Amino acid sequence: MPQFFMNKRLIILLIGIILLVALIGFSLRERDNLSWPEQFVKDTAGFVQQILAKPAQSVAGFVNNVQDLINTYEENKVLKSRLDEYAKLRVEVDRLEKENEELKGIIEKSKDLASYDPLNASVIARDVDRWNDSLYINKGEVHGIRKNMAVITADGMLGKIKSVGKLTSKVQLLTSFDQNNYIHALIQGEENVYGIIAGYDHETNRLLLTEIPADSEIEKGQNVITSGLGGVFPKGLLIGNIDEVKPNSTGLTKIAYLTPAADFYNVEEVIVVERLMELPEEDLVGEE
Amino acid sequence: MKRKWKIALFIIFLFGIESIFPNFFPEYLFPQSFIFVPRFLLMFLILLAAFYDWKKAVIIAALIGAVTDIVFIEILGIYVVWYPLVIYIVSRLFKLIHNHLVVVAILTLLAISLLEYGIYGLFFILRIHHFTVSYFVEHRLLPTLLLNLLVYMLIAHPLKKRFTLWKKEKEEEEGMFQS
Repeated sequence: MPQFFMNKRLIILLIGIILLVALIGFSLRERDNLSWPEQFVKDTAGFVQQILAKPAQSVAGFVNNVQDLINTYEENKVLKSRLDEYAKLRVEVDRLEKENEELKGIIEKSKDLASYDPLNASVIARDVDRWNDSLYINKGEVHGIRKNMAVITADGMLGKIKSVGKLTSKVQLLTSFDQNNYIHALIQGEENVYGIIAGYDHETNRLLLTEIPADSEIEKGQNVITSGLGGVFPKGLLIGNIDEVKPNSTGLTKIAYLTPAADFYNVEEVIVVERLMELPEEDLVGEE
Repeated sequence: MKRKWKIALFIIFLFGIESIFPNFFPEYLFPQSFIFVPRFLLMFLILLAAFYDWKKAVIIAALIGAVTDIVFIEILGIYVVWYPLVIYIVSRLFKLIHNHLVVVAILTLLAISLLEYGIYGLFFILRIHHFTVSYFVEHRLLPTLLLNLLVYMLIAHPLKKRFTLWKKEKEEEEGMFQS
């Protein structure tokens, strides 16, 4: 045995492995804040990424413009046919919005679950190895971004803020594998039906909506939005629309597959959304 | 010491390219959800190890691994070990075989597979994902190898030229000091 302990390389190797496991264990747990060396490295890397992201975005923008030009004629035809419909809808929305405001004024309610503060940000990087799908944006703690804020694009919901540095932050997409990534959702229809977004099917590129009551009637094409009842996100952010409904394995509830509203690829500009409604007390809120 | 700065600049540049690449790569053109992972830095380091100085390559790999862990993964101790280890294994193999560009290409593919498999296995153990091996190979490994092989064909030759030149310069400088 003494010879075994004399082997210097072996000892170093063993100590190395122990340190490694300890390090992984230390950083794997849910952390509220990153330590300052991590934030420093993140912000420095973010600076480099930002310098390179700008020209890349302009090149990609040019390519997109050319593609748009090619499709212009076809799109124009479709759009013209929908223009009348749009004008009608616009008038109705204006009227309803005004009415809503007046009614809120009457009952002296200034904010509800749906009200939020938007904050624009640009994407500067994406996960290199794509295992935990995430984006990196050029706004951080100093701009007022906090953990767990919702992130949307003009099309729909994208994800939430996973961690915050001083000048950059990390957005966890809905496509990520994280088991804590649940969102309480509302299916819009005659009656409100609630469910929980519980994952992403990578083979068909659809979101999974679970825990829908078995007696609820859901059809293909219905919109699914955030309910705001999870306590973290505001209400009314579009997540996607229903593509397929089937009973779950026990038959007690239904599950549905959603086509996500937002495009998870080619994201350049995002909006970080701060919920204005007060949060319930800490210990009442689970992970959304 | 101009060479050092050139290497550093190139690495910073490649790091930036790698981090924005997935956001602009038109993945939606493919019918299935293939994932193309850019491994340009690894490729650069392997070429550096093959034609310039393998010890430097391992040290740089450890640094890059640490930065990747902190910035992207937020779990410390994955890339910081795997990156230099892969470079070390491959550069050991270089000592046995003649450094021809085709050989280096095969070894680069081997290194990328090693890296991807290692990360896949570790994340499987840590329960970050739950893909089967066959899904991983079909949707991740093969597209990744293809993409990186294409990029390799573009950058390998000019980089080899540059590195052999530097090596010559370096040996001449060292020779001057000795005499």
